[in-house]
Amino acid sequence: MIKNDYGKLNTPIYEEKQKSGLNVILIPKDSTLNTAILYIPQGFYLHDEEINNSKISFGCPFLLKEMILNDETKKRIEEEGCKVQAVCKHSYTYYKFESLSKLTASINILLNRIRNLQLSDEEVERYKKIIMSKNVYDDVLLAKDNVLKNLFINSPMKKGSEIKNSDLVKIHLTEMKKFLYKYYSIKSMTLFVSGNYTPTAVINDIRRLEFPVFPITSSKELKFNEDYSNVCEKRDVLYLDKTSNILSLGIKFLSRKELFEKYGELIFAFYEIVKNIIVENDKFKTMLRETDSKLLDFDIIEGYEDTSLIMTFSCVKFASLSNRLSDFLSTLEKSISLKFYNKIRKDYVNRAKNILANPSLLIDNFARLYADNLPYTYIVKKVSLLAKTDFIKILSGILSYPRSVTYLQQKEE
Amino acid sequence: MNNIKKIFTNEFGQKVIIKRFYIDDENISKERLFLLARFLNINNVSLKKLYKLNGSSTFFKAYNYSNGYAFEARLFVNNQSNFLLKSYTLKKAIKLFKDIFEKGFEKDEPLLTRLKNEIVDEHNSYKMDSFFFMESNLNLPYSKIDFDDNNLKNVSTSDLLNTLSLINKRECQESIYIGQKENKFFFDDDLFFKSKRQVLPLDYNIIDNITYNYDFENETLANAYTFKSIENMDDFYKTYVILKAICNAFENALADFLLKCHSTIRIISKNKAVILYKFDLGNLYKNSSRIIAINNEISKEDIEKSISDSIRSLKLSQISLNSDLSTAIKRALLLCDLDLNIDNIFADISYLTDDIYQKIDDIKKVNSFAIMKGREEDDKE
Repeated sequence: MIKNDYGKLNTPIYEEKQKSGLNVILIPKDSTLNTAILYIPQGFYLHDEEINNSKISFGCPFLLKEMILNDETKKRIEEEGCKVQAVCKHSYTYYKFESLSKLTASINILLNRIRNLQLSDEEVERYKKIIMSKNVYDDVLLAKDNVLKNLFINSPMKKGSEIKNSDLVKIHLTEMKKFLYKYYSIKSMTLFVSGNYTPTAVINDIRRLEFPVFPITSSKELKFNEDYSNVCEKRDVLYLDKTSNILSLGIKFLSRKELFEKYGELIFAFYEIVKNIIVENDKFKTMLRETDSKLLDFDIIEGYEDTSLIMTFSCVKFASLSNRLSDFLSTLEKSISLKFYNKIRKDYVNRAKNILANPSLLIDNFARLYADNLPYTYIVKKVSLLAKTDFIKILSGILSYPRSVTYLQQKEE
Repeated sequence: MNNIKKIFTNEFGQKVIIKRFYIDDENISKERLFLLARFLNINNVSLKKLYKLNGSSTFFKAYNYSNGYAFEARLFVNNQSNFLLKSYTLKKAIKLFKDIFEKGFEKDEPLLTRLKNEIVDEHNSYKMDSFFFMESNLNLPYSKIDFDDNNLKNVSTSDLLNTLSLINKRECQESIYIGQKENKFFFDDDLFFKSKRQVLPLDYNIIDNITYNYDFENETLANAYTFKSIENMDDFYKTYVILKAICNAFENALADFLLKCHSTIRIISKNKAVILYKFDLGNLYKNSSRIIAINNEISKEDIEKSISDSIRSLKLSQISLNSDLSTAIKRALLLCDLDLNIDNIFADISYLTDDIYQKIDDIKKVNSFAIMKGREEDDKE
């Protein structure tokens, strides 16, 4: 195992690529809590146009996740004294295990479920119905997804992150099988482990895990041309039967390649603190108070080459919030004092130190940044060194990128 | 007098000291108490100095407790990796924490006025919540204080300082430490952290069994239970398991009729608990006869069937104690309320088995309350 101590934050990381193809990342902690994450490098954002000549539909990774960690499997794992949850984001899907005892048996229950997943037409249709019956459309998600739809021209990011019943209907059994074979095979998986373990103990435990090995697949990468200097629609209004006024503003960033060429790794440190720089800003708070608005959500969404920042608000009058928000963003750079900037940066680092003491929180953060190939500790160090001038340089670039706004309002009678 | 109670853990990357005062002094109004806690969160004499001390911070809170209120202060000190600074940081942070009780805050009238307006706005948003109304009217411990907006607006800076000095004189208090084990706890001998706890009686403000109101945005049903006194952790876990099984049995019965609710358990004293069920607006009212029948007819067999799920849920909540500091603080305070030994907070409870059926008979429902949307007669009017 290769040991790294990124950031010198008293959190060494051990990494090993096993012969089977499995990636193992161990973060030892003097803790009574044991945690692990089984990481699948694919989420809502699809990278394949076809796998083994089958087209892959939006929502396929989500449906598969629901089928794998179904109520029965969850109950069996919980009976082992282990908390389990599944998360599907744009770039990844993961299964998280937390327990006060050993995790081997619990992880094996899930692996066994993956290996023996009964993918038949009846089963797939049954799960679709279960999800459809639970689907409740959330206004904030609806607004955010509409912003994504309008920001991007050709990218799969247009599909958003909410699986609608109309998406589910299109998913077919064959593509589910092929997706499972490609991404749930041992060679695609990464296992994160944190707790009071030594590297040798983890390697021994991994030997007892029965990972799935599926037939080899071939795939055709999804190719598309995206114009990062334009958006599809700058402004959109959705009328719903019942909703409060919601305004969602999105900014479409340059492609990841261009961002990296321009700002290097600093861009990832920027993502970590930009939210607090904005929402803790006094002018932002005054704007919310004076326009009788509330910030409902702030999100930076990343998927492959695409990145966007979306802020969603509830408000009384669209015009007043809209005007004030654009004034605020145009003067944002000037309103950030060095003292305020340093406080936000320091708060982040202090919070990170607390996160690094807890296996459950640290493993979430390591998995979150894994899609960017960045260890969390490395990014914490980058934030602690991110100068205000660099932050402002990135901010002014981002504020000049194209935007799209969606208004959600109630239908007039 | 007791020493500060201690829970040792390495999980959270920080140390927390909690000091709680019990207030049943008629000279302390609820508006003053509530405002003081909120004001100290944004303005206290040590705020900036503590922040410079490796990002240390404080948090203040006032809530209903027993036949009065509780005023709770928390000091958070991030673990210091520099060995030489370790003891210094904690000592200095404690000194600054004590300064807040002595000196309070810097006068800042505009900030106080702004806070009052914010609090009144927040109050307007949650006073339509039937769950808040139920908790507050049943005077459940830890529930939000329901105050008069005008009285709150009339509280002055000197009222707040006066309240702080009255709080300092309260003898009934306790202190808890959660954090790394140290070789020596220098504050063990500090009188500031000595606890003088007395067991406080818990009074019910019994409201009408059913309250109808058009204004609430949701509906709540609550049941009060009594049981054999909880004397040790085993009693605590078993009582909790049965209360949780009652919730599960109720929710399962509702699910048969495609009805849903969100349930909350409040153990309020050694031998009393309340279970609250929150419903979306209209769901309880429209199905009241069915829901009330289910609530009255949950059998011992129904509860028995839910025991294993309930044990599983309790075991999982033990995991959360190790990953979430606020959950750990909440549990520690509850164990103090029940006068139990908090050393055992993270104890292994894998020994718990379904074999606790005999305890079901010890738990008796003594009263039910409901808050529902307006009555049908009112609809017609």
